[in-house]
Amino acid sequence: MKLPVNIDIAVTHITKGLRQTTVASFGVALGVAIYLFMNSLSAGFSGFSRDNIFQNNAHIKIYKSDEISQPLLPESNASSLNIILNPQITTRSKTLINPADILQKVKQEPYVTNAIEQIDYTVFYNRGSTQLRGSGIGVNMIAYSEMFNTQKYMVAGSIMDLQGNINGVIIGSGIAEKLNLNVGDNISMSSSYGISKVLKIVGIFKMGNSIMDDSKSFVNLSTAQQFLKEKTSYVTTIYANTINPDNTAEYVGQLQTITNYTVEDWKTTNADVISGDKTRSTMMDSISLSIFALAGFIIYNILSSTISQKINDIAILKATGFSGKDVIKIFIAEALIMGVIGTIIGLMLGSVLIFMLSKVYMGGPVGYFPIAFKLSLYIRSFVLGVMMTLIAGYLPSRRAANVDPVEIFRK
Amino acid sequence: MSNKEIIISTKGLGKYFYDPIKFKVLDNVSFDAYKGEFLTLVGKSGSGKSTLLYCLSTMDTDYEGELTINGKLITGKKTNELAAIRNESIGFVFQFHYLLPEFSCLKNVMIPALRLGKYSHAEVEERAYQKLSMLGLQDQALKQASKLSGGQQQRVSIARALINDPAIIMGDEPTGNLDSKNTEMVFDIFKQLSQEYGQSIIAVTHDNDFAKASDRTIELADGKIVDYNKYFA
Repeated sequence: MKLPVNIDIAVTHITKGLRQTTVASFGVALGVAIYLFMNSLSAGFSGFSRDNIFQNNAHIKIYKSDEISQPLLPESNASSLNIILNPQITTRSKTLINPADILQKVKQEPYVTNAIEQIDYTVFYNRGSTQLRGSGIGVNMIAYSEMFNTQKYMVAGSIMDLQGNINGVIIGSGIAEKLNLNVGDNISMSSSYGISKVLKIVGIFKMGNSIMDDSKSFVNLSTAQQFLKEKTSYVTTIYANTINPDNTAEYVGQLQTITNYTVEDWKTTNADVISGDKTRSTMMDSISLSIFALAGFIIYNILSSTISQKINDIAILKATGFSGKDVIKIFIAEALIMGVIGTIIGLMLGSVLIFMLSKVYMGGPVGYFPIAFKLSLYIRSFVLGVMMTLIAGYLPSRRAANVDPVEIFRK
Repeated sequence: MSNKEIIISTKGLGKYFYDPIKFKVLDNVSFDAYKGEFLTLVGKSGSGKSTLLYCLSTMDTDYEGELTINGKLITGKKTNELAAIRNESIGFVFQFHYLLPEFSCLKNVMIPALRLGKYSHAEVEERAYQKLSMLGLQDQALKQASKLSGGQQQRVSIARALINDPAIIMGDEPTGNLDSKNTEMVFDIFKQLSQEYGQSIIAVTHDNDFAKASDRTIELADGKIVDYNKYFA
């Protein structure tokens, strides 16, 4: 082998001090494994809770917000007559005006991947004297399923059967259970506008979320419009998905230039969930980084003691013409070799942990444990592991560089 | 000897030790050493001879006065430049052999040459073998340094000192730890190096026989040179 002489010396030190090398590498491996594992846990859980959000939330929604009545006369100054106000919601109809045009424009935006129109309304499910209150959704079911992946949650029937079927309905499993209904049965539904209809159940979904399963139903847009006694252009909300759900703030700003209606992203709608996610990932980050720092101390310690042991060797090297820089290079190379070996072992160890946990069945809507296998996390763990060993190696090697050979030889 | 080429020269070299109290260990030391000269430094313990050697070696930079090696002023140079000068022009032999214990003898000899980078790896290896066989150690080349006897280790360290063909070889009690047979061997090697290869030897020694047999002996006492040519003047 014809390595550069500094590296050659480092390699010899490492191979002759196998026990120390092993301990140091194992320290790094443990730190990297735990860091990777915990971050994968965190990422997996964030992904899971985000999937949960996107089950029934699009990245961006456009709707008509309630308007509050304004005073007829603007307030002039403090000394003038006070106008007593009783502000009220003045919204007459929740509809968006010319929704087809808005939908068309939204779809033309380059960052929008998918957009649909939807009608939300309040509905009662009746059977005999039993009455369940719920919320109905009027949509084009195929487009809706494309966006929210509803097909995945169907436990009976199919979303295809609702397409073009104005007398069909898809209901949540909770409703089906409580009213003892199944696919093919009829269900009587009435709206707050006094419209009552008997619809045929073409499908049942179960999302594992009681708010959804016990109250939601899907009908065609035109059926929903009939429930609300509205004309065929009536639409309450437009949902849009984008190429990057993390960048919705920017998209909201751009969409707001297209329409006057309220444009809101999923982060605003789910601020509570997001802040919970942030808290959890910050917690995980601090724990895993502390463990990482601990591993750094192990390396620092081992290199420090190696340098103390080899102080004679360092003096000889300096006497024979090695500069302080050369000495730093030697010990940095040692740290780096240990660091890279340890990091690679750590990544493998972490992978095993992740793999094992991903096979643990949690039951319910969670299914298998949500843990992420993310390349970016592997890269980050690798870079951090190597950086840590570099720093942990650099600090004691500076001491080695400053060894005064005369002082050693005179002893 | 005055017509010979000067290899190393000092002018008014002075040095203090500060611990435990300020103490002048070298006082106005001026002398020249010549190319191909086998020079020994003698003196009682504490006379400053080892301190002088370390100043000459460029490792100790904390002195007053001037040091010139090969016509170049050394005083005031940066530590990295000094390391390069040591690497190329100075070879060291210490009292306690000081090999790198984890490396083979061959590697120990090769390391300064690999650092110098003048020759390819294969050439360096070839040269290291040459130096080792010159010292009768070709059979020990691949053994780990720590497995050799003291005399053998000392000869390996001489081979290491020679690997870059330095102009000057310095020894701090190079035979201080050796029996008479090995001492004689080391002496003969030094003699041969100065006579046949024109390399200068500067060695600190306690051994009067060793000093007497060298070309010239400088005696120090209390940090001053008291005799420039002790045995022949």
